[in-house]
Amino acid sequence: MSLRFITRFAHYDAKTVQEATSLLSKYGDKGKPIAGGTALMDILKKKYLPTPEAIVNLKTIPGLDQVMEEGGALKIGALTKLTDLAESSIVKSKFPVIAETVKMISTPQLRNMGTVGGNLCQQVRCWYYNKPDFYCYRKGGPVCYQPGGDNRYGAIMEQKVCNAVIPSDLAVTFTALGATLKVEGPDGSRDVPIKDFYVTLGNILKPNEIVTWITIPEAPSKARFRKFKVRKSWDFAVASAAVATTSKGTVAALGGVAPVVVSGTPDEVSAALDKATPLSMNKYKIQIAKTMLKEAMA
Amino acid sequence: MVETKKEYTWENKPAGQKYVGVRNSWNPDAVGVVTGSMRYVHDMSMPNMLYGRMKTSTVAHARIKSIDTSAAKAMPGVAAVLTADDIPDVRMFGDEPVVARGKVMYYMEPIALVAAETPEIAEAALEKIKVEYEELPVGLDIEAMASANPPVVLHTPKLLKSRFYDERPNLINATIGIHGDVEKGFAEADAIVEGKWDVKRFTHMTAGPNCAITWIDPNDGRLNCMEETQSIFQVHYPVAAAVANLPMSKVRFRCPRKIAGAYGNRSYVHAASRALWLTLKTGRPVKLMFTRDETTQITSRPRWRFYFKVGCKKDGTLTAGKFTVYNANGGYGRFGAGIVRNAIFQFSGNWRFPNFRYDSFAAYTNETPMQNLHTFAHQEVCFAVNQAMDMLAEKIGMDKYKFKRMNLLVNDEVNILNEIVRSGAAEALDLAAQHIGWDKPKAPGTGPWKRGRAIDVGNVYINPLVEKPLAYVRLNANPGCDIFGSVHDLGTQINATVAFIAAETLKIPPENCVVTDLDTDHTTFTGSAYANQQAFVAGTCVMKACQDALRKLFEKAAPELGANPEDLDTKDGMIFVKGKPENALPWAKFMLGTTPFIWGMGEAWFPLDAENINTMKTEGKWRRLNLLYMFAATAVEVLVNEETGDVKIEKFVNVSDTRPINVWACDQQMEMAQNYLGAGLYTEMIQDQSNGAYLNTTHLENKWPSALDVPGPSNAVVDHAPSPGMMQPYGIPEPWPDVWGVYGGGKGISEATIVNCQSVIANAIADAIGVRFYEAPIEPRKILQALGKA
Ligand SMILES: Cc1cc2nc3c(=O)[nH]c(=O)nc-3n(C[C@H](O)[C@H](O)[C@H](O)COP(=O)(O)OP(=O)(O)OC[C@H]3O[C@@H](n4cnc5c(N)ncnc54)[C@H](O)[C@@H]3O)c2cc1C
Ligand code: SF4
Repeated sequence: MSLRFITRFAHYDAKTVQEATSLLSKYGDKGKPIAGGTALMDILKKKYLPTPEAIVNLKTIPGLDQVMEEGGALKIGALTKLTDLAESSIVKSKFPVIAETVKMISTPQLRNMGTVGGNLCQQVRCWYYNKPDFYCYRKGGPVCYQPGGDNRYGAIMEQKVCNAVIPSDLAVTFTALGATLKVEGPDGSRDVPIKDFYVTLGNILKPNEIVTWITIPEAPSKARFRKFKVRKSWDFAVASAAVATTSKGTVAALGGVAPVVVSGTPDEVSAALDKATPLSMNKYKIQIAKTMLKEAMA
Repeated sequence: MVETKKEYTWENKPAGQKYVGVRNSWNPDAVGVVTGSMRYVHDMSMPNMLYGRMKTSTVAHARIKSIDTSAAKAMPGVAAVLTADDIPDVRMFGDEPVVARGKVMYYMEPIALVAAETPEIAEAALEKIKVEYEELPVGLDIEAMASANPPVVLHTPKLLKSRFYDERPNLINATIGIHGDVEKGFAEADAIVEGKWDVKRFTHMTAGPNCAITWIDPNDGRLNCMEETQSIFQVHYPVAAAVANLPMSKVRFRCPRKIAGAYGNRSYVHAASRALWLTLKTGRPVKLMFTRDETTQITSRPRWRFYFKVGCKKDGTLTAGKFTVYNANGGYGRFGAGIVRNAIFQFSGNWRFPNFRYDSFAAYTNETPMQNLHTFAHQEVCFAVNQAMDMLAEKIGMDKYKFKRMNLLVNDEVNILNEIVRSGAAEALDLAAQHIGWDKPKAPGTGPWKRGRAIDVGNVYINPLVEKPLAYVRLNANPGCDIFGSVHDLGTQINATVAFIAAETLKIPPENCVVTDLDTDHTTFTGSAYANQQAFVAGTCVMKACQDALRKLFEKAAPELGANPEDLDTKDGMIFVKGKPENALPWAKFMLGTTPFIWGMGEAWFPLDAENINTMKTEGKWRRLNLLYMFAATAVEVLVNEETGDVKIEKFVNVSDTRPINVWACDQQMEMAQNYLGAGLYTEMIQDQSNGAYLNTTHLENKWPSALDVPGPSNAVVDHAPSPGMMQPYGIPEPWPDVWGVYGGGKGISEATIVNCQSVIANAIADAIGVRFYEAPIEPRKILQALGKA
């Protein structure tokens, strides 16, 4: 039996994207989509964010868990399980960097349940934010606890008001690969380049919008993902780097160093690291990020 | 499973020993644990049961101005809301109340208790309880808090008395140990090393959080408690009765067959002490489950600071040592007074010091009260001592293994506490050196990876506060037996070990030997599951009880077999005259009708020097404070990446000086010790500097290494260098009959296996990159900082 008790909420199994987004609209900012639930359940149990009034299950929408190739581009349904993504034959043969990335994420059990959309949309893992007792800036409160607290895993660049780091590993690789996300709401859909998707305090989704597809425009001629974990078997990144070369050039992306994915040409990213603004305890992350970048470029 | 390198040699093993000292993976609980059918307290429930929860403090130190429980009490479905005003003022271990009384001393200290019809209502009720605090300064500075003028005083009046310096307001204990003349010893030294070491907090992360069910038995009106415990008779039962303000005859305490992880956490009555008041007030069964956060914030190993100065001659002979210990004990005492006293045993067990001075201080601080955790401080002490020994060896240019080897006490030597030590430390160290290939130069590193190795040696002691333990065994006709004794299986497979001992003695299959569950109504006292004593203490009693039962059985059978009882033997439930198995009679023939069972009783005697343990010096006729010391030598080879601070463990060697009874279980303990390498690498409780709260309370953030993070079977070697166990109490006829313990397996194993795991990482990293670390754990962050890369 669970040791944490979940507050009551309404639960809907959406059958179509339309149904999901209109249910979410009905509840305003008090509704939440759920995919694998591996991240959302943690919130419902620990209650560091208010429990939504309604939870809309996306897993019951048919067709969103597919991985396919369309004219050289890779299309990934947002409800694809991480394990299925890594095992897809197209991914393995033409986009092996994606499979490499997935294997670095959490544990086999979580990868069997967690989805691509959930991975991209998960909340930050700042340990102040993840506790109900700390009403920090990201929750609407007046302060950020990291600068005056234990910030060994905090951001080293582009902090602005929040020093948490983006936790998603897939976001890093997808950024290097130039992915576009299909965002659908009750009023239709839009395509958002992944580098415009993330903002300091989260992402650009409105409460009634969901991610349905991720498109990678072309297979890279060369791509690598490197991630540094303190505990090797399972851990979030202290820093990670993805570098991909396509017909449009080479893009480097860094994870675990800022609230958003930091990207650009390898030279730009490298220069950004030289100008990093670490907190009191985490200067070491610059060195690790540089090493990851170097290894990803090798 | 790692194959041990050599077959055990059993000099005094009787021929044909079948279960004891034999590698046998049988374990009566294995299927239940692996399939999930084993029921822990968390899995249990009772009809009409209420759910308990605790309202806990959000600040580290405050006067409680008011607690308003009216809104919570008014909620439908809430059966009781209790604060200190509703509960008699009984203090656990002298100072800790069940819920805060007037003041809170640490973040998440329980303040009020709620019982409700559903867990959801209980949780909602917590939010309705309003607590007004007047915040007080938070005292966390480890040395300042132990001083005569601390920044803040926690308990007035002071409830615990310190042996020395009692006038210091936060001090709960101080000990002083003096042997020889340290100043003279340092004057004689050719080389001296000095350092200050800090070890961070660290917690048990038991698979199951603390949980209890309490109820009143309608048949006899007694208060019943069910909680997983590693010390049912020495802690849980008496403390629960005291907290409940009831005579022990009105309380019954039980524990399920298997405990969901302990490592020290279950030495304290965390859950039942609170649940029982909800039961006493409502008359209904109450289940109180801690959340993971509550479990971690309420129990953890204390923070330590050590100062160590040690000197030696050019030839390596130690001349003097001076060790000072500070323990940031947390808001209440718990076992803090004992832990700062017992830390000296690392020196008395291991090292030949002609001159030695030991000072230790445990002081209140505004953080989680200390909880004993695997080795009762010795892993932490070793972090300082093994490093200092390596530093001293480096300084005089001597091989580290040789330096340690020559300064180890050997068998029958008298130590700094005037004990006569029985030790296999030197032999264990030799074996570890062989297995790691110490005599060969280490392979070079590659690129940024630098290679390092280290070999460390340490001890833990068995000092069970158990003088005359006693077990019963009840033989049945099947043939089989039921075993009655306080055997606590924390996952150590002691249920199997005890069954093997019974099976070996009775010569029946272990499957037929049932270790009965812990229940104060029928369990006898054979010690507790702390200080590695269970196989040794309970095992001895069970062996003797089986021998006693067999003696009675043979007395009954002798006339029918026309022989003297002492000429009889048994095997597989048949009794026969020795050497004539063809004329055998079954046990069943003598366990029928009026005598369905035969009972045996086994009593052991472990003379204890209870008087001198506090002064830490044997005097008069006593020549031992501890029953025994057990030793382990641990060696590792690591690769350290100078670009990322990453540490990879390439090889792990662990050698004990125990002779295993349950070989399978012992080797698993020796192997699983690898998980404690995390204490050297990156596992710690990260504390907020302003209020001592733990920030990383989940399995994810707490970073215990998993099986995938350590060398694993193919790169680990475990071995044993058996040495005699018990030390000789002076004035008792020599040789002490139980010197080899039960079936020659005279020593425990559990804690010794991990004692070096923190220091050996530090020493190996230092060997690889030439930098010393004085603070554990040594994460990549610290390595990069030390290398000037951060
Ligand atoms: C112990 C642990 C370790 C982890 N380690 C790593 C790691 O190393 N690297 C890493 O990258 N991740 C890691 N994760 C995150 C893990 O990968 C995610 O939990 C998982 O991918 C989330 O997927 P899900 O489908 O379960 O999401 P859910 O829990 O269902 O949802 C997560 C969030 O995303 C929202 N959401 C879900 N789907 C959509 C959608 N289609 N459109 C819009 N919003 C959506 C939900 O509302 C919710 O807020 C870890 C998680 C855990 C619990
Ligand atoms: S880093 Fe961000 S999430 Fe963490 S405490 Fe600061 S504002 Fe909150």
